[in-house]
Amino acid sequence: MPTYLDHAASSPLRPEALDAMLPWFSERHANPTAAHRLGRRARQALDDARAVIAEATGFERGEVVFTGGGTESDNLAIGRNRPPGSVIVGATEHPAVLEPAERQGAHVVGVDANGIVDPAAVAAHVDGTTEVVSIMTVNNETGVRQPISSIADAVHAVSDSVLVHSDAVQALPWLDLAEATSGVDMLSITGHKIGGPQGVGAVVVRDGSMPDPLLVGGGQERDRRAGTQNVAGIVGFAAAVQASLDDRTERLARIDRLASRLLTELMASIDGLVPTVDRAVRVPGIVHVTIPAVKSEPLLFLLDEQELACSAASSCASGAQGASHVLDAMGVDAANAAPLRLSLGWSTTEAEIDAALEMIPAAVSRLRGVS
Amino acid sequence: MSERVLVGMSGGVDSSVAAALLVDHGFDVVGVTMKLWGGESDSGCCSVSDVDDARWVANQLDIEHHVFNFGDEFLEHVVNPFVDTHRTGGTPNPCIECNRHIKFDLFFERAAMLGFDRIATGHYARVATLEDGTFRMQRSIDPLKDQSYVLHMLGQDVLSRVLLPIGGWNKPDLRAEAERRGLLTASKPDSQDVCFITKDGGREKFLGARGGLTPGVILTEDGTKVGDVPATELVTIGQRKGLNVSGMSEPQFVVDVNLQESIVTIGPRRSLQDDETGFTQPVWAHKPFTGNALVQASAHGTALPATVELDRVVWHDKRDRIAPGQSLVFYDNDYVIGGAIAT
Repeated sequence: MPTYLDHAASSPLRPEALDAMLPWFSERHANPTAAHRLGRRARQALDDARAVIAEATGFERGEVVFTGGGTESDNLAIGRNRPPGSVIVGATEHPAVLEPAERQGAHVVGVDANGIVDPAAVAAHVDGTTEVVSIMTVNNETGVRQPISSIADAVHAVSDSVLVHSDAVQALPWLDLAEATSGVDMLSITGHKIGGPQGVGAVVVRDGSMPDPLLVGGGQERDRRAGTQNVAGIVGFAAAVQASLDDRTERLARIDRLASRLLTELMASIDGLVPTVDRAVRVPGIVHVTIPAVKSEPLLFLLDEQELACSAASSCASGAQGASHVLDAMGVDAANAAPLRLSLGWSTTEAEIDAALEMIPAAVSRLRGVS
Repeated sequence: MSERVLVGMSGGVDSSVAAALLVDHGFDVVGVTMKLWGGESDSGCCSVSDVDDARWVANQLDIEHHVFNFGDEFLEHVVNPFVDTHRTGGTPNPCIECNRHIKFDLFFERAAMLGFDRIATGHYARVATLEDGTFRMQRSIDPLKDQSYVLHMLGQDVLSRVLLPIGGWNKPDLRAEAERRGLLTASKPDSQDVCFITKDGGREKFLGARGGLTPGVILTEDGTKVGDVPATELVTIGQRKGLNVSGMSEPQFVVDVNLQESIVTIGPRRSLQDDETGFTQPVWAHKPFTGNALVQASAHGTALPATVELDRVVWHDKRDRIAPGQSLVFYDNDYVIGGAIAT
């Protein structure tokens, strides 16, 4: 029985999402742009899904643009061919934000030891040439929350016309986005962090703020994202979001308790293990720790052998463990302590926490030569 | 329970077949690709596409595949010393340093740490057990592909636990075997030269980007200036081509490189001949050795008869001078006795 503590990478599909999608893989196969009744039914499904996403994000239905996932949403929001210096991002952003921003000569704003961006530091970079500011709502490695609403307010206080974008991919499972991201002009979210399918997401954009589309030709999504929509995926995405809204209170309390137990008992059983960020500033489901005197790669290898799935810093394209730009920016010394990210989600059980609490200390002891 | 073997899979055909043979043999096999170099590369052992190929083959063989990132260590133990050795006038062999510090040290250590009984690689060489129970590196049966030279540093601890499944194969048969098994890498070209040096840029671009190359002058043995070189560090003893000196009565070779004064001295073949070659940092397969042996001074060179002394080899017949930094490998027939670095 696998122990799955890698929800921040991808959560298992919720049964609600699977059930909702199945008809769209069989009898409901039509193109949502078609004029016939089968097509109209597909279009209706997209509209229903749009309403769910709008409710979850605090935006209007017409402001929801479905995409192929978080990376596309981020790329779309950052835009292309902007003048050098007109984009401002945080140092710990996901590469889907950092890379397109840096290609356009972005200002990169540093973070404190918890990985938090100071709103005043962001605002200090804003001037008449600024077009987009992008700061994530929750960090994908550490789970730390950014004061994104305050950042939006601080930026808009300097210039109303600046678009504030937030990658809320990791926030969606945990936060009420309408409240947590109020004042933000654009949000990126994706399905597979909350039990939806992979490869489908959305960018929600305040009316009138839409950057140039990345894909053109066909007019779908009101000319903001061309190409036949992934109807089944979008239906599954919305079903997962709805399920996630429905059980949020119960789920957060349960995950918080499981994650706290995991962290407390790991700290008690592994010498030198410390949480990377304070509990008060992170979402409940991401437990990021560093473990001195071991390396991440062999640790993950041993855990994988026992079918415990979790992550270290980040994985590069080859599958090798790479250094983390997030930990670098925070000033965490990852050379002498292995970073380990244990991320919980909707399906996490007490039994999985029990298993992890057996396996992780045993693997660390083995690597430290103590058994 | 069958023995657990961690096999290094570079994404090339040799290690693909090595892994397949291990699976056939009934070992519990896990494949690993070592990610060594993140910079520019033609292919070598380091690119994402090579990792993909290795992963694909592992999938074909139905074994698990992992990537170990040894990039920092590769930089520290292979790339930086490569640059430093050139800078001090030597001619390094980075593949030997990679085997010494990465593939048969870090990888070996990692395998033991993870509970594997043995490691394996797709090198063309064999491990023989002698009558006294000790182990020796033995040449491959394919003399054209033999890699015992670059593996000469392995001691008893590694030799006792390394498997080299393709040491008894020649290359054409091995390719045919890969083809027969339908392995993705069956017709993939052999990797050439040093994995972190590109064909286009060569050593000149690589070293030039890492701390400057010094122009020098070319003198004959009597001190007459006959030309210039753009980068003294890139000139190797014994080199004949690329010097652009003309009007000489007989072919000219580099007989000395003086980096302090940026002087390259050339002379006729006879000035390049040596009776002996000093060495440093000897390593031994089993015990330190002195006496008669066959000594090989480059990866595909001929092993020549010589007497190995404490700090030099005395050649039985004069031979061309060996560039400092190259490895000397001592053989008893087909068996590696040990090796050292020429001074």
